[in-house]
Amino acid sequence: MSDTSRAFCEEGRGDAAKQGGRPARLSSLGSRVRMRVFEMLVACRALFAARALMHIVVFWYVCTPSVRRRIRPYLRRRFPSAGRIALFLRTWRLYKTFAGILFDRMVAGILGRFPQSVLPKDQEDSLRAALHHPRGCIVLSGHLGAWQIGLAGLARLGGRVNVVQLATPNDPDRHYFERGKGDACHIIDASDMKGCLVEAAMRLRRGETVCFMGDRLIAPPDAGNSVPVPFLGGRIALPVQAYALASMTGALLLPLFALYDAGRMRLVMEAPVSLPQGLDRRKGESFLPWALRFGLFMEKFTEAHPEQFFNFYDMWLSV
Amino acid sequence: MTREELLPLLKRAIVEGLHIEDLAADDIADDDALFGGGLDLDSLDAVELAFLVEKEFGVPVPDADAARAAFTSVGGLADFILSRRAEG
Repeated sequence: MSDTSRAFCEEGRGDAAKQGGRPARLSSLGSRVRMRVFEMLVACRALFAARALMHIVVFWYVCTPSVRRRIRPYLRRRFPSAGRIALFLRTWRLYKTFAGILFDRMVAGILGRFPQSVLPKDQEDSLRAALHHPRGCIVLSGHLGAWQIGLAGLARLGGRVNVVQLATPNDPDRHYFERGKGDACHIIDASDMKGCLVEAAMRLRRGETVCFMGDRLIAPPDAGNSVPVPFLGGRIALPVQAYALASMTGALLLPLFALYDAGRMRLVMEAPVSLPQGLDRRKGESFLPWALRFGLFMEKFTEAHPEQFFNFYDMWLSV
Repeated sequence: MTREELLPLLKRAIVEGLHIEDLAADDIADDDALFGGGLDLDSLDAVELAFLVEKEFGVPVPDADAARAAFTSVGGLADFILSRRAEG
């Protein structure tokens, strides 16, 4: 199963960036046939049966050593003193949460049943204002929580929502809106990075919203495209393109995650910021203050919701 | 404006607008690639270049398809500008 933001974003994409090859994605585990079975059950409204099958599939996944290894780098850092059994249970809970999110996305796309979205009134006003900013809004999210259906919440608040992601037309898993229901987001294909950023910049100038995944690189880290920040006791490289675009276009930068909470979705956001114009975009360090802030935002989220971190690869830089 | 008139203006605009320090406008060949060799610009340079083309030459590069068509070589960019101007 894959996700909304296969851009900065594919399962294990950063691993690919680091190692120069395309890693196995979680989606590769779910065959096209298995996906069809789930889709048929959901379309027939046999949700109880579909959920039961999902739990069986998740347990089978978690019993597979290679699947457990994918999330082990994160869990070892998040729970350094956990023993083997505790890690197994953490792994199982994390994959169960992830599967539940993807399942709810499928239900939303096929039946139009979206999880209840919760956002305090004052934050809703702030979010609505950011999404209608005349110079556009860059929503900086990550592979945490229910980012896939979180976008549906943004689209409902108005304004045109675009998502930077790698186009994967043969992926059996699809966005909720690709299944027919919900407000559609416009996909900006990140496989051609220069075209992608040009289109993102032009849409921001028209006052639209562009979502980036701020936690994952799409190319090997270097001094120009990333900046290292502390995260869970180590250092990770965060991409700087979103910050650079905010500085170049005057768009607001809005860090935002969608917390998945017992079938409901709660948007968790920080205050939107404007970056100074004219920052030296050729140096990743130019954007360090905002990258540090995003790293801290991620850390706070994983401290509160450890089972909602979905980067299935070793994203930490070697010392 | 003809292609021959546009090319030197475009080269100078690229060097000055993108703050390329180790290259003179006269050193750029018409068929030098803008990305991946040649001038070796990066994806954020592409954004600045799109802004520059719109500001200096009045031709927008509105989306990824247009960027792909425009940002091949300096000559290719000149052709893109001239064709868009002719269209409209």
